[in-house]
Amino acid sequence: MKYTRKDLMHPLSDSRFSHMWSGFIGDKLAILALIIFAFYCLVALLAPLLTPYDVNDVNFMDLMNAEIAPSWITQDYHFLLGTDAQGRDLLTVILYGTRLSLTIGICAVLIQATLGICIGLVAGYLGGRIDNFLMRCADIQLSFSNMMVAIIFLAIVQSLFGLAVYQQLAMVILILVIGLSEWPLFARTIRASVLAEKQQEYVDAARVMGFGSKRIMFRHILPNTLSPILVIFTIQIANAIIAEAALSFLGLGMPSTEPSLGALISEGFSYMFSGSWWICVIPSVTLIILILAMNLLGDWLRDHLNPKVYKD
Amino acid sequence: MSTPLIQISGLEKAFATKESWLGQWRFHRGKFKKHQDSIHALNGVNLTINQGETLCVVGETGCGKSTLARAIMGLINPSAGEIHYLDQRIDHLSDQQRMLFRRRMQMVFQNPYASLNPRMTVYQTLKEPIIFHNPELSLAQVDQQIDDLLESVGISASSSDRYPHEFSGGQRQRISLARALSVEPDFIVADEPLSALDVSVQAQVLNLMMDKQEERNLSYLFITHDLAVVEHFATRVAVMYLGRICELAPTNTLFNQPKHPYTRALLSAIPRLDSNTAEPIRLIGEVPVPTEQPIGCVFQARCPYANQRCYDESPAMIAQEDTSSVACHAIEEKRL
Amino acid sequence: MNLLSVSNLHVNFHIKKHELAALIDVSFTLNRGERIAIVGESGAGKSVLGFSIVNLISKPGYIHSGSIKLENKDISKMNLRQLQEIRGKRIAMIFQDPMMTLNPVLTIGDQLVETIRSHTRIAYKDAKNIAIQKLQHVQISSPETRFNQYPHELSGGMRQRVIIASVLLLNPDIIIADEPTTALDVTIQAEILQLLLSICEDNGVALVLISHDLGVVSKVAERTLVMYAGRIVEEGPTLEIINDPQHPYTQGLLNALPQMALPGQRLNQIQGSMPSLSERPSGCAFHPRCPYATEKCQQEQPSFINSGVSSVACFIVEDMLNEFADEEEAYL
Repeated sequence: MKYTRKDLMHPLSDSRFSHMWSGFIGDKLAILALIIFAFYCLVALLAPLLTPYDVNDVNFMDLMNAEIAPSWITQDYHFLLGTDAQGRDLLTVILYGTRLSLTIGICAVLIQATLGICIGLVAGYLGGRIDNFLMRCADIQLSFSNMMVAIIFLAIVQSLFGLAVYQQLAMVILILVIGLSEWPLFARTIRASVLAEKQQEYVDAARVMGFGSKRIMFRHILPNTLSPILVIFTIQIANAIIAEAALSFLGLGMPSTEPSLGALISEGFSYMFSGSWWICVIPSVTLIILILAMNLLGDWLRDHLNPKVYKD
Repeated sequence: MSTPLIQISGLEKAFATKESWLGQWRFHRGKFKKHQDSIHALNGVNLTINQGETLCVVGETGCGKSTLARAIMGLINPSAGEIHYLDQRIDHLSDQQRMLFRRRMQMVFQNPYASLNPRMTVYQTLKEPIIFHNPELSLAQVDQQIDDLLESVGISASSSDRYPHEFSGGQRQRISLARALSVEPDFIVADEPLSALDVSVQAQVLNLMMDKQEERNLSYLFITHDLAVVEHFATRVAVMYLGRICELAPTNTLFNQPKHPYTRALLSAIPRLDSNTAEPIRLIGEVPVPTEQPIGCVFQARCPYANQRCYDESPAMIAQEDTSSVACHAIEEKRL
Repeated sequence: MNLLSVSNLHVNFHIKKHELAALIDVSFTLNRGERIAIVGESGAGKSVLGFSIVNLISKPGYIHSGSIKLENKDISKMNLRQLQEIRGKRIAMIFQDPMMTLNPVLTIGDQLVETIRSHTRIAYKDAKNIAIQKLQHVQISSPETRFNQYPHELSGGMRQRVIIASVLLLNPDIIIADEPTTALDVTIQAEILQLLLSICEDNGVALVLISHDLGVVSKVAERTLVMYAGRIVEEGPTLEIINDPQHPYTQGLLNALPQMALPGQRLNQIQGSMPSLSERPSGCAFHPRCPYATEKCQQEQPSFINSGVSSVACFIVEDMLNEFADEEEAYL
């Protein structure tokens, strides 16, 4: 029998997206965090257009201009945020530094996430011996302090290839080191949610349809574990940026010719007590605001992507 | 006589309860011994499902009826026994070999809130199996097919871009049925599809399933604990207890002349509106957890008519005059 | 003197700056030792009503107006301390899923003893004796063993018995049972209902049974309230409602039961589904699904009239009664 139009059922309420959006508008702190993060991303992307000075210019680094205080002290508007010890414009350097820090952070976390998600999915879905093996690997990886591994690894690379080569490859190496060191966090979280999702009947339904394991893992289970991934993703970017800053601060990160925020802070630190506090403090504040915004965003995502909270 | 579609013989399934291999070792009398606890969910099930019929499997929680459904669908591998689809054996097939039968056999699940992928719209949910099994179809054809399917189960096609949580339980169960029908099967296993629904919605879904059966000449294996539903829907009824079938009869016969003591108890427990029905037969105790292979009749512990033979010897299914068959010593010995 | 009287209760949900009415003008009374049932499909507001009686409505819901009087005290205006005195001791609740109420990491015994000791000063040993006695009361075999077991070691039916025992510990006047048998097998369902019935009869406890199944209700309740979209649409003695339902919705609910159709035939379904809170139809909320709906039904809300069988809010019944009365007049 064919149903008449009157019998056809329309579903009940409005969509998930509108719920997320209304929750978002309701939370002013989350909006602020998102605006700040977007601003950072925009600035980092457009750094070459925004900066008052060209970094490739020979005159960019002029020791004559070294350690000029910010404009609100000197009333000299050539250098808005002053200059650093090498006479570079601090605003320009910070913009490029933010760009570097964000690039390293995001790329490193992308590596972490890709590795972690694949390993977590496979371990959780296939189970048994594969699961055991992969999770023990994760345990071993976690039992090392990430910082320690990174320091040792970077030190070895530096002494093996020499400083010159290292400085050229610094960014790639940093991304790899930070990226490879924290995948177990992703893997474990994913595995836990996969184990929970695997019990759901829609997975059985997909199996009954004859779909292969790969399809079920990536098309059916993965989208349902995305909420915890997104949360860790934001918080891990913050962590990766901090890790990079810390490594740079220790002199194992980005070289001073191409400084990230961490390298800037490290460099400025030695001038802290000689009166040129801005070289250290302004990049630090920039970094702190970025990290804070990322963490706020992560918290908000965690609260609002949680289906249990959503159900009410 | 109709032709058998699915034949199940001697089907057994035991689940291991301890998974880690360390847990299997027990210290016993000064020695370590390997010991594996298991739960015997199915203990030799023989069943035939004919073409175009609705076979209802009835039993309490823990009697193995869901395990039976999952074994038929190949979601779990049986420990022993055989399942035949027409004349081909389909247990122990690899996923690849099973593909041919996936289109023929489909399943509707118990929980309408869990059986649809929450992150896929109704359209995506239906599109995936259609494209997967018919890669030659054009997108327009697929869309047409989805619209037709949705309308045929009473869901407005304009709501196909919505997510499952926006539908009520009954609507989701309709979508589940639409998904099962999307690959045009001729056999559908329905695992307690009504138990999570309101009575009024149960009627809607049940009517829909009956409509589809007539339209497409479907065969159903319908699993439920609610005998009231069975009376309307089933061609034949199999009563299951602790992993065995204890009575198999055409619906009318079963409801008019229940034979097995367990069937009688089940029937008397149906809540009836008329107040003059007899007091329900109370069974002693509850369904035990079958950690051992049962010896004798599975119902022995709760049966008021059990004698020594019931404890020693497992009863065979014996065909009765009225086309039903019962596995009970008391019936066989004409004590009942 | 009514034990509980709910009058003109309105419960609203405040969602995204919208006021959605979950209960509209609900009034009913409950006498000491009386057993009533609240019947309706999911979304009808029957659980909200159950929760409102003990003022357990959680945000975003709140009691907008109306009163819930237990003897003479208005529950809707009590503070938290007064409510805690009432919950459990005077009014107890049983839920659909016993696992929600039982704490999985404590033994049955610990939970029962804790309940007793939190309300009365009593030695552990005495509390244990009371607990075991109550477990026996709900027909749990070997209660001493069960006392030391954890909830997951018991079957679903057994757990619901434990819940009933725990509810009995404090000798409440009213038990509200929200779909107590929906999660259980049919066989066990009958036993639990029988148990609830006998316990209420033995101890003079009043029972509010919430269910979607009129078949379940018929065995236990003396009086039945049928709810649809937040309103009571019919109220009357259970047997009479079942034998002669007046409201088209009640008729639909009854007809949908499998036993109301001939074997092998289609069941009589009610078309469509319960509207959500935000999409409440105008007039009589049932009119889009009602086979007899007239234009009047779409615009006005019917008021309660006594049909002789039950108290019912329906224009169709009203018209029929009027016609009947006219005819009678003419005949005379």
